[in-house]
Amino acid sequence: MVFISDTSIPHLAPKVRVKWDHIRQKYLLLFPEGVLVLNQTAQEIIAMCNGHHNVIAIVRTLSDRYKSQDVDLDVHEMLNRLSEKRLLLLSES
Amino acid sequence: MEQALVRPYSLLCELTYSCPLQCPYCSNPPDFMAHTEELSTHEWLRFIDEAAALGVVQVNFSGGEPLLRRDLSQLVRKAYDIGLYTHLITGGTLLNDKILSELRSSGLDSLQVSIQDANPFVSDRIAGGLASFKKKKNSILLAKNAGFALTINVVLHRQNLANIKAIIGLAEDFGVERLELANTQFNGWALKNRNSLLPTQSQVQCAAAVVEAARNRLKGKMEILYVLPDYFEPYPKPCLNGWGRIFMTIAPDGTVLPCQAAREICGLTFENARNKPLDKIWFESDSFRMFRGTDWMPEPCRSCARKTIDFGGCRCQAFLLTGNVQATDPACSLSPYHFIVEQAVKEAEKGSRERWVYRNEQESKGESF
Repeated sequence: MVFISDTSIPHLAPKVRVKWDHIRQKYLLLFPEGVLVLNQTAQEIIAMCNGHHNVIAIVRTLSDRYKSQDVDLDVHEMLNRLSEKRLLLLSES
Repeated sequence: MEQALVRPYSLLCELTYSCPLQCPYCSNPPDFMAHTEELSTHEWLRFIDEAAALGVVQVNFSGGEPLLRRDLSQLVRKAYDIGLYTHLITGGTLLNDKILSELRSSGLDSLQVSIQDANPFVSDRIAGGLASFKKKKNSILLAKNAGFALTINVVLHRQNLANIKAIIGLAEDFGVERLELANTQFNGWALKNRNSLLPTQSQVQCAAAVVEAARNRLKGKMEILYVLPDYFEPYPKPCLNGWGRIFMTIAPDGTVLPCQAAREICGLTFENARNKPLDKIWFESDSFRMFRGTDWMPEPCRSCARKTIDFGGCRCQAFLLTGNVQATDPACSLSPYHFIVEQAVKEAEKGSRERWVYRNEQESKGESF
């Protein structure tokens, strides 16, 4: 199992690229044989997965921005899914 | 209206049909020897530009064996320079340190190497008799040392499904991060060799259980993709996620295909990128519009709730098994032609084991008249 704790610090795996698609006007996550079209929230989460923020910080930033309780779940769900596919790598603070 | 706005995300560049291997399930068309003319470097560079302008964000380089093209690194660099994600699909027998470092500095994002089995002898036999396994193994280790993100691809069938545990174990030993286990899709060469490749129901079930256990054990360490065999599933695969919706292939001679196997469909005419810009072909050609969306569908697809999930299945399979390219994919249990698939599965249970035909130039020449 992938275990993500509050103090885990996610960063994108080297094989993953974020691209601004000027034709579709969207951010994309590109990886081997796959493309994920990022919505606004997903893009903001990914932008914080740069090895400088732990999970608490990411959740806090997004909760403040969206004044919503559900962000916590969204963040965890996304980090989990991407970690399982090894698109995100985790280190501990 | 919305159909007009659909743009491809992914381009498969089949750089050549030449290959040192002869796998009997190759996805190249059986008559590949009738299409041996190859695009020039200049043409490929132009088509990569056209594809990017059309919306492609990801380029997969494949073949045959793409490393037989000396301009491979140049094409990778081109794609990288204009912001495309690049992925190389190779048999791995021609990789060495020099080429790997060239590809690395050209910006190649990820690399996929095929093996045919975990057992060197079986792997060599499936790939056509030459001692390829040792070279592949060496290439995988070199590529890992060069820092590449690696996928190992193994096509599964009757002759290697029993070794699936060892195959997963080998990928683990290699320390690769992605393992693609793809059950044989019975088009082209694989259809010719179906009697020796189609597994039994129990083989498929055992393999699925092994994969499930390994996936749970390796979560976060190695991603395991397992492509189910559609002959044993109630519904067909969402082939390409819909015809002319996400993918586009350019064949070695410049023919533009919705799917790399589509040239097997008699009666369809495909355009060549040499004669027409890619955007015109994508948006306006009959070959791409013919099965786009759901309007073309006959029953039982037309009134089916799954029509936007599986898009009527595989057009190539529909044509090859029923002779009618419009038909519902016979892999679907709702297809009136499903009995064809059931019959094949029943035959496989009897354990018939004909010798297979290798994919090579000689066999291909017999196909082209």
